[in-house]
Amino acid sequence: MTEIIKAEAKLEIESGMDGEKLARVRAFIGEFCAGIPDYLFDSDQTEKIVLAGHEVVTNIIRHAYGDKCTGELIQIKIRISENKLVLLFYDWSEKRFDPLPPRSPHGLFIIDQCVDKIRYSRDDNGKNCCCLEVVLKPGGDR
Amino acid sequence: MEFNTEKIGDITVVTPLANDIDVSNADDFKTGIFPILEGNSKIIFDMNQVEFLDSSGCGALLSCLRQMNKSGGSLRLCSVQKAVRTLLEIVRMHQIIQIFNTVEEAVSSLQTSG
Repeated sequence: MTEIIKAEAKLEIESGMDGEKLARVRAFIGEFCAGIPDYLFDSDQTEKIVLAGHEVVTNIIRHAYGDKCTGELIQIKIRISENKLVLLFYDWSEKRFDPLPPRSPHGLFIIDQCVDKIRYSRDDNGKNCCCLEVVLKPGGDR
Repeated sequence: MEFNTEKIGDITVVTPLANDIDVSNADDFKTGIFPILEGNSKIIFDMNQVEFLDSSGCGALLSCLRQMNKSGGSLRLCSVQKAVRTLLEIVRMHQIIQIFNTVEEAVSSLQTSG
Protein backbone atom coordinates (compact mmCIF):
# COMPACT_ATOMS: atom_id res chain seq x y z
CA MET A 1 0.00 0.00 0.00
CA THR A 2 1.34 3.43 -0.91
CA GLU A 3 2.02 5.70 1.99
CA ILE A 4 0.37 9.10 1.54
CA ILE A 5 2.73 11.79 2.73
CA LYS A 6 0.95 14.82 4.14
CA ALA A 7 3.97 17.03 4.72
CA GLU A 8 7.73 16.72 4.55
CA ALA A 9 10.83 18.83 5.04
CA LYS A 10 14.56 18.47 4.58
CA LEU A 11 17.63 19.94 6.25
CA GLU A 12 21.26 19.49 5.37
CA ILE A 13 24.10 20.33 7.71
CA GLU A 14 27.80 19.72 7.71
CA SER A 15 29.36 17.63 10.44
CA GLY A 16 31.32 19.29 13.23
CA MET A 17 30.64 19.54 16.93
CA ASP A 18 29.10 22.96 16.83
CA GLY A 19 26.37 24.01 19.25
CA GLU A 20 24.74 26.28 16.68
CA LYS A 21 24.40 23.46 14.14
CA LEU A 22 22.82 21.23 16.75
CA ALA A 23 20.46 24.05 17.69
CA ARG A 24 19.47 24.33 14.01
CA VAL A 25 18.65 20.64 13.94
CA ARG A 26 16.50 20.98 17.06
CA ALA A 27 14.72 24.04 15.67
CA PHE A 28 14.05 22.27 12.35
CA ILE A 29 12.48 19.25 14.03
CA GLY A 30 10.64 21.37 16.60
CA GLU A 31 9.13 23.67 13.97
CA PHE A 32 7.93 20.74 11.86
CA CYS A 33 6.35 19.05 14.88
CA ALA A 34 4.71 22.33 15.92
CA GLY A 35 2.75 22.21 12.67
CA ILE A 36 1.22 18.84 13.42
CA PRO A 37 -2.38 19.13 14.63
CA ASP A 38 -2.98 18.41 18.31
CA TYR A 39 -5.44 15.65 17.55
CA LEU A 40 -2.61 13.66 15.95
CA PHE A 41 0.20 14.43 18.25
CA ASP A 42 0.70 15.45 21.88
CA SER A 43 2.74 18.60 22.04
CA ASP A 44 4.69 16.98 24.89
CA GLN A 45 6.00 14.48 22.35
CA THR A 46 7.75 17.26 20.45
CA GLU A 47 10.35 17.68 23.21
CA LYS A 48 11.14 13.98 23.11
CA ILE A 49 11.40 13.84 19.32
CA VAL A 50 13.63 16.91 19.23
CA LEU A 51 15.81 15.27 21.86
CA ALA A 52 15.95 11.99 19.94
CA GLY A 53 16.90 13.82 16.73
CA HIS A 54 19.62 15.75 18.53
CA GLU A 55 21.05 12.52 19.93
CA VAL A 56 21.05 10.81 16.51
CA VAL A 57 22.90 13.73 14.90
CA THR A 58 25.34 13.81 17.80
CA ASN A 59 26.00 10.09 17.32
CA ILE A 60 26.64 10.60 13.59
CA ILE A 61 29.08 13.43 14.27
CA ARG A 62 30.88 11.65 17.10
CA HIS A 63 30.85 8.05 16.01
CA ALA A 64 30.22 7.88 12.27
CA TYR A 65 32.28 10.82 11.02
CA GLY A 66 34.34 11.33 14.18
CA ASP A 67 34.66 14.38 16.42
CA LYS A 68 37.55 15.87 14.46
CA CYS A 69 35.93 15.51 11.04
CA THR A 70 34.17 18.62 9.71
CA GLY A 71 32.32 19.44 6.52
CA GLU A 72 30.81 16.00 5.94
CA LEU A 73 27.18 15.93 4.91
CA ILE A 74 24.34 14.99 7.23
CA GLN A 75 20.89 15.03 5.67
CA ILE A 76 17.72 15.03 7.73
CA LYS A 77 14.28 14.36 6.29
CA ILE A 78 11.10 14.49 8.27
CA ARG A 79 7.67 13.56 7.02
CA ILE A 80 4.22 12.86 8.29
CA SER A 81 1.76 10.42 6.80
CA GLU A 82 -1.67 9.26 7.95
CA ASN A 83 -0.45 7.32 10.91
CA LYS A 84 3.15 8.10 11.64
CA LEU A 85 5.89 10.68 11.85
CA VAL A 86 9.16 9.57 10.30
CA LEU A 87 12.60 11.13 10.73
CA LEU A 88 15.42 9.97 8.47
CA PHE A 89 19.04 10.79 9.20
CA TYR A 90 21.52 10.10 6.41
CA ASP A 91 25.28 10.08 6.49
CA TRP A 92 27.94 8.84 4.10
CA SER A 93 30.60 7.78 6.57
CA GLU A 94 32.54 4.62 5.91
CA LYS A 95 31.65 3.35 9.34
CA ARG A 96 28.26 1.84 9.66
CA PHE A 97 26.70 3.26 12.76
CA ASP A 98 26.70 0.53 15.34
CA PRO A 99 23.98 0.97 17.90
CA LEU A 100 25.58 -1.37 20.37
CA PRO A 101 27.28 -0.11 23.52
CA PRO A 102 29.77 1.03 24.66
CA ARG A 103 29.72 3.84 22.11
CA SER A 104 26.93 5.93 23.48
CA PRO A 105 24.63 3.82 25.62
CA HIS A 106 23.13 6.81 27.36
CA GLY A 107 22.22 8.56 24.11
CA LEU A 108 20.80 5.41 22.57
CA PHE A 109 18.74 4.71 25.64
CA ILE A 110 17.29 8.22 25.34
CA ILE A 111 16.47 7.77 21.65
CA ASP A 112 14.81 4.45 22.40
CA GLN A 113 12.66 6.02 25.11
CA CYS A 114 11.56 8.90 22.87
CA VAL A 115 10.31 7.14 19.74
CA ASP A 116 8.35 4.01 18.86
CA LYS A 117 10.75 2.45 16.39
CA ILE A 118 14.40 2.80 15.35
CA ARG A 119 15.90 1.23 12.24
CA TYR A 120 19.40 1.38 10.82
CA SER A 121 20.38 0.56 7.25
CA ARG A 122 23.17 1.07 4.74
CA ASP A 123 22.70 0.95 1.00
CA ASP A 124 25.09 -0.24 -1.71
CA ASN A 125 26.28 3.33 -2.30
CA GLY A 126 27.46 3.69 1.28
CA LYS A 127 24.58 5.81 2.48
CA ASN A 128 23.74 5.11 6.11
CA CYS A 129 20.27 5.76 7.38
CA CYS A 130 18.89 5.96 10.88
CA CYS A 131 15.11 6.02 10.80
CA LEU A 132 12.98 7.05 13.76
CA GLU A 133 9.25 6.46 13.74
CA VAL A 134 6.55 7.83 16.00
CA VAL A 135 3.05 6.43 15.75
CA LEU A 136 0.38 9.12 15.64
CA LYS A 137 -2.89 9.01 17.54
CA PRO A 138 -5.71 7.09 15.87
CA GLY A 139 -7.85 9.20 13.57
CA GLY A 140 -5.01 10.54 11.48
CA ASP A 141 -7.03 10.17 8.29
CA ARG A 142 -9.48 12.86 9.37
CA MET B 1 31.15 28.38 30.14
CA GLU B 2 30.40 31.12 32.61
CA PHE B 3 28.64 30.74 35.93
CA ASN B 4 27.10 33.07 38.44
CA THR B 5 27.78 32.05 42.02
CA GLU B 6 26.04 33.29 45.11
CA LYS B 7 26.65 32.39 48.75
CA ILE B 8 23.69 31.89 51.06
CA GLY B 9 25.27 30.98 54.39
CA ASP B 10 27.32 27.85 53.75
CA ILE B 11 25.37 27.08 50.60
CA THR B 12 26.66 27.99 47.13
CA VAL B 13 24.11 28.63 44.42
CA VAL B 14 25.62 28.21 40.96
CA THR B 15 23.79 29.41 37.86
CA PRO B 16 25.20 28.14 34.55
CA LEU B 17 24.94 31.03 32.07
CA ALA B 18 24.09 28.89 29.07
CA ASN B 19 20.92 28.08 27.15
CA ASP B 20 22.16 24.59 26.35
CA ILE B 21 24.37 22.08 28.09
CA ASP B 22 25.08 19.53 25.40
CA VAL B 23 27.80 17.60 23.67
CA SER B 24 29.27 20.83 22.29
CA ASN B 25 29.98 22.37 25.70
CA ALA B 26 29.63 19.64 28.36
CA ASP B 27 33.41 19.52 28.78
CA ASP B 28 33.50 23.30 29.26
CA PHE B 29 30.78 22.93 31.87
CA LYS B 30 32.83 20.35 33.79
CA THR B 31 36.04 22.38 33.48
CA GLY B 32 34.32 25.43 34.88
CA ILE B 33 32.26 23.78 37.58
CA PHE B 34 34.75 21.39 39.17
CA PRO B 35 36.86 24.08 40.90
CA ILE B 36 33.64 25.47 42.38
CA LEU B 37 32.60 22.03 43.65
CA GLU B 38 35.99 21.45 45.24
CA GLY B 39 35.70 24.40 47.55
CA ASN B 40 32.10 23.95 48.62
CA SER B 41 30.17 21.13 50.29
CA LYS B 42 26.61 22.35 49.71
CA ILE B 43 25.83 23.21 46.13
CA ILE B 44 22.67 24.16 44.28
CA PHE B 45 22.61 24.34 40.50
CA ASP B 46 20.05 26.96 39.53
CA MET B 47 19.10 25.73 36.05
CA ASN B 48 16.74 28.58 35.18
CA GLN B 49 18.70 29.61 32.07
CA VAL B 50 19.22 26.11 30.70
CA GLU B 51 16.61 25.33 28.05
CA PHE B 52 18.16 22.16 26.67
CA LEU B 53 20.18 19.31 28.10
CA ASP B 54 21.33 16.20 26.21
CA SER B 55 22.98 12.92 27.18
CA SER B 56 26.37 14.61 27.46
CA GLY B 57 24.85 17.28 29.70
CA CYS B 58 23.36 14.53 31.85
CA GLY B 59 26.77 12.93 32.00
CA ALA B 60 28.28 16.21 33.17
CA LEU B 61 25.67 16.54 35.93
CA LEU B 62 26.33 12.95 36.98
CA SER B 63 30.05 13.68 37.20
CA CYS B 64 29.25 16.59 39.52
CA LEU B 65 27.00 14.40 41.65
CA ARG B 66 29.70 11.73 41.91
CA GLN B 67 32.26 14.34 42.87
CA MET B 68 30.00 15.75 45.59
CA ASN B 69 29.14 12.29 46.93
CA LYS B 70 32.82 11.38 47.01
CA SER B 71 33.67 14.44 49.07
CA GLY B 72 30.66 14.01 51.38
CA GLY B 73 28.91 17.06 49.97
CA SER B 74 25.37 17.64 48.72
CA LEU B 75 24.08 18.73 45.34
CA ARG B 76 20.59 19.92 44.49
CA LEU B 77 19.00 21.20 41.29
CA CYS B 78 16.34 23.88 41.07
CA SER B 79 14.34 25.92 38.54
CA VAL B 80 14.60 23.18 35.95
CA GLN B 81 12.81 23.95 32.68
CA LYS B 82 10.31 21.49 31.24
CA ALA B 83 12.44 20.06 28.44
CA VAL B 84 15.32 19.52 30.84
CA ARG B 85 13.06 17.86 33.39
CA THR B 86 11.69 15.58 30.65
CA LEU B 87 15.20 14.30 29.96
CA LEU B 88 16.09 13.93 33.64
CA GLU B 89 12.97 11.81 34.05
CA ILE B 90 13.71 9.70 30.96
CA VAL B 91 17.13 8.78 32.32
CA ARG B 92 15.70 8.62 35.85
CA MET B 93 18.19 11.11 37.23
CA HIS B 94 15.34 12.67 39.19
CA GLN B 95 15.57 9.58 41.39
CA ILE B 96 19.19 10.18 42.35
CA ILE B 97 19.41 13.96 42.45
CA GLN B 98 16.90 16.11 44.30
CA ILE B 99 15.13 18.69 42.17
CA PHE B 100 13.27 21.70 43.59
CA ASN B 101 11.04 24.27 41.97
CA THR B 102 12.82 27.28 43.44
CA VAL B 103 16.17 28.30 44.88
CA GLU B 104 14.44 28.96 48.20
CA GLU B 105 13.10 25.41 48.41
CA ALA B 106 16.49 23.96 47.54
CA VAL B 107 18.20 26.17 50.13
CA SER B 108 15.67 25.13 52.76
CA SER B 109 16.32 21.47 51.95
CA LEU B 110 20.06 21.87 52.46
CA GLN B 111 19.60 23.88 55.65
CA THR B 112 17.40 21.22 57.22
CA SER B 113 19.70 18.40 56.10
CA GLY B 114 22.42 19.83 58.33
